[in-house]
Amino acid sequence: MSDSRDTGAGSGLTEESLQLLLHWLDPDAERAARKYEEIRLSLIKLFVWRGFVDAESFADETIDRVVRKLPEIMPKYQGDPASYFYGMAKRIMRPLPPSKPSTLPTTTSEEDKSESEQMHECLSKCMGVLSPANRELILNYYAETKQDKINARRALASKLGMPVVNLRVRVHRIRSALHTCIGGCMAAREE
Amino acid sequence: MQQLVEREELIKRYLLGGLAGGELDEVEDRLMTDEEYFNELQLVEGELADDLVFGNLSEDEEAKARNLFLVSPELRQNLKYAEVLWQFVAETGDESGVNTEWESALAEAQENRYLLATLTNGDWAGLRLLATAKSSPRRKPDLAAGTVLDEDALTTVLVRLIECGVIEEQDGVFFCTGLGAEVLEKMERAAGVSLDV
Repeated sequence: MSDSRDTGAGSGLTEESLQLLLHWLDPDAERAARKYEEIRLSLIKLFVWRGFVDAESFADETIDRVVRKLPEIMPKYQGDPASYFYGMAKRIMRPLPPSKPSTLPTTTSEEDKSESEQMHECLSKCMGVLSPANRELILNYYAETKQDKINARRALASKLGMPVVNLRVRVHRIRSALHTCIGGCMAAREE
Repeated sequence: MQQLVEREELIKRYLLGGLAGGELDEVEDRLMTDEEYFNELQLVEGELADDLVFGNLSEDEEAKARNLFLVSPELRQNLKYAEVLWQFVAETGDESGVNTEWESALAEAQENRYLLATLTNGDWAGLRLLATAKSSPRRKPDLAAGTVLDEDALTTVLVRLIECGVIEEQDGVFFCTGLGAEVLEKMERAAGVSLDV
């Protein structure tokens, strides 16, 4: 499992309570580990999409509260455990206002420019890592879908011989691959 | 088709903070319990970043989208990536000619070839990484531990596995996708061996 189980899942999560949680999620250890990670990531995104800055902490707090309730709910709860986590997350969110943009960190324009330049260089390098077909696709996609994206996507998908939904999924994967590559490149520059 | 458009409009309204009550609960419960729906939200989120960069949103939507993308470090980063990508495309221009029909027909074969190369190159490094991610989601250092790849080589293989759709990254954790599990199972059946790590 990723580091999150060892360090990120709240201060109240002991090895024993973690094992109880995993067993509740699925009797198969491998499936339980995956389910745990999926739930934790879904919780993080949930808090992000609701506008909370420290989404990871809120996600871990949600997990901690669910774990504390496990002895009580395990014998009788029916349904997807992920729904129970959602219910707990809602209870945490309810009394709190989302974060305001004024609490966000600021950077100088020089720092921004420097970071953008480094990102540009990394992107250029990462474009070389993509397959030629995917590089061509992503360049076409961004060149052609700037405006009137619905018609442009339809035209590009037709040109490529695939449904629009497949095009969008493929672009999403290429974007994710580029993000991973750029992130690695930027991290390497910082070392 | 209409249902798809309506579903995505609902997701967009959710991301821009425009849902409440039962609709809000329904979307959020579904994103927690339905992996495909969660992936769809991520896809729409990525497209919203593009719309924000391209100026394709109304004034009201733009303000809400800025709030969304400035809240978390990951989303701020994704917005920056969208800006840099757009700038790169503007400088590079459109690389394509029009694909002929036979090129389109070969596209799937090309994808399969690319996947095979990704899995087998470098002493089957791609396959090892995929099998490791399938056994449990891992961060990069944990994935690297089972290989002799340096940082650059590891990133390259991971990027290609993501391109092929067999691995995905969420918040620094690498998962084997449904497609990745399917590919591994097919290879296990064909070879008559278990690829469990």
